[in-house]
Amino acid sequence: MKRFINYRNYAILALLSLFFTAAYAQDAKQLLLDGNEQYAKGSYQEAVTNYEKVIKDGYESAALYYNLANAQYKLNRTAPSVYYYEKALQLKPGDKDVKNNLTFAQNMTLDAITPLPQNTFKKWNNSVLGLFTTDGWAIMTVVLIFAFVLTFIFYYYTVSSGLKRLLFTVSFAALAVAIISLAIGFQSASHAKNNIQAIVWSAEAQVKSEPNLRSDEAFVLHEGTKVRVLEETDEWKHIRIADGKEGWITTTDIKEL
Amino acid sequence: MTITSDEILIEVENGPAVAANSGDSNAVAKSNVIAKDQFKYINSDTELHSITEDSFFGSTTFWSLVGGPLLLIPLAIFIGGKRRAYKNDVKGNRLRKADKLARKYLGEAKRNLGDQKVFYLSLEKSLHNYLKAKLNIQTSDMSKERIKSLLEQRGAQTESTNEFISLLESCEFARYTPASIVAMQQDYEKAARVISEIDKQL
Repeated sequence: MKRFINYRNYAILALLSLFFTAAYAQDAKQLLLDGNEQYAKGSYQEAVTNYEKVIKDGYESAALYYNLANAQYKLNRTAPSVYYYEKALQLKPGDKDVKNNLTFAQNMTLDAITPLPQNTFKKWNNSVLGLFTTDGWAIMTVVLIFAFVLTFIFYYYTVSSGLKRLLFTVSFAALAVAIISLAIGFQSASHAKNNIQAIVWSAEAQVKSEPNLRSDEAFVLHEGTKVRVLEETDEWKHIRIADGKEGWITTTDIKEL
Repeated sequence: MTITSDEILIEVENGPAVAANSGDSNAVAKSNVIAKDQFKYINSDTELHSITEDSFFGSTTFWSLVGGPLLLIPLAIFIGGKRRAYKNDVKGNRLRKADKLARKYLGEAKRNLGDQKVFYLSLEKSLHNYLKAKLNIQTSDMSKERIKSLLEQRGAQTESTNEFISLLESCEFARYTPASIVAMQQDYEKAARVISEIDKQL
């Protein structure tokens, strides 16, 4: 009898925690909705507060980041708007609205950096990688594997030879694309791991040639500029900008994506 | 004397579109004024997910979803093979079924193997029962020729039907002529065999 009661208690606990998680998520959704309402009314600062609270509660979405970036843009805050548009693009690469508004935010940045030319292969490779997030490639792989297995089993059991040939071709085409998708997924995952990017947060930041205050200034950056983080020490980050120039910037001057 | 003023923000009516590269680009290249671009409104989608560190790619769920279905293939092939074997065995099953059938009908006759009159009576009855069950007709009043033609209509071979008819004749003769136990045994086994064969042919 005692053992039975214990199971029931565990079940109740599990249900309660599920309920609270759902309720908590519901709270976050409400904050997002409130933020959207305030944006609609033109109360951009209140909207920002609500959006940021959602993030603090541990929730995110491409739409949330995009809306937050919009609100920051309306408040003329360069670095936060660029930053959150880029966060939105991380979750939904290729989103037209985000890319469109990002260009507006980038017009508030001061640095004019001419990027190094990319060779054609690298450009093509990056555009393929940019189609989906790593998890997007993962989902595509799974779907294609299912397609392969289903069509292969149908091929195996079909009697008519014409249909059999078609199914065989389709199934192995699906397998081939699945393998490609998996390979791209691996590349995407390693690319994300090795390619840490950040946005300059301070209005003006000195980039030094060494990770200390004594060394020469290499160049100056302003808020909203995108940089790539190569390595880091306690207080400094080794960065590279689009035209290939490198230097050390204090950690507090930038915010990683 | 230098006078510094605060930063003045200038609102540009139609924002120039910046052709920015996605992907690896760290660039901000300012170019191309495209007058039509408008600052887009917020997104009303309320889907939220928790900010987790673990990505789906490479997780155990991922690999099991990839590997699991692949295991279905050898499983399907194995099941296909088993099904074919079973189907072939169905012939064996039908054989056994036919034999059981014969035994069912002849069971009573078998019990009466000692008593000639009763034996042949029940043998005749079981032959007629079999016909009744298989051809769905009352054959007791039919002539042997009619029975023969009906059986052949349903696909029975001539040899088997002839044997069947001869058995019916034996049952009739047995009313008048004495028969040995051996003959009864032989007739019993013949009946079992013929019923089994006809059943396969129908």
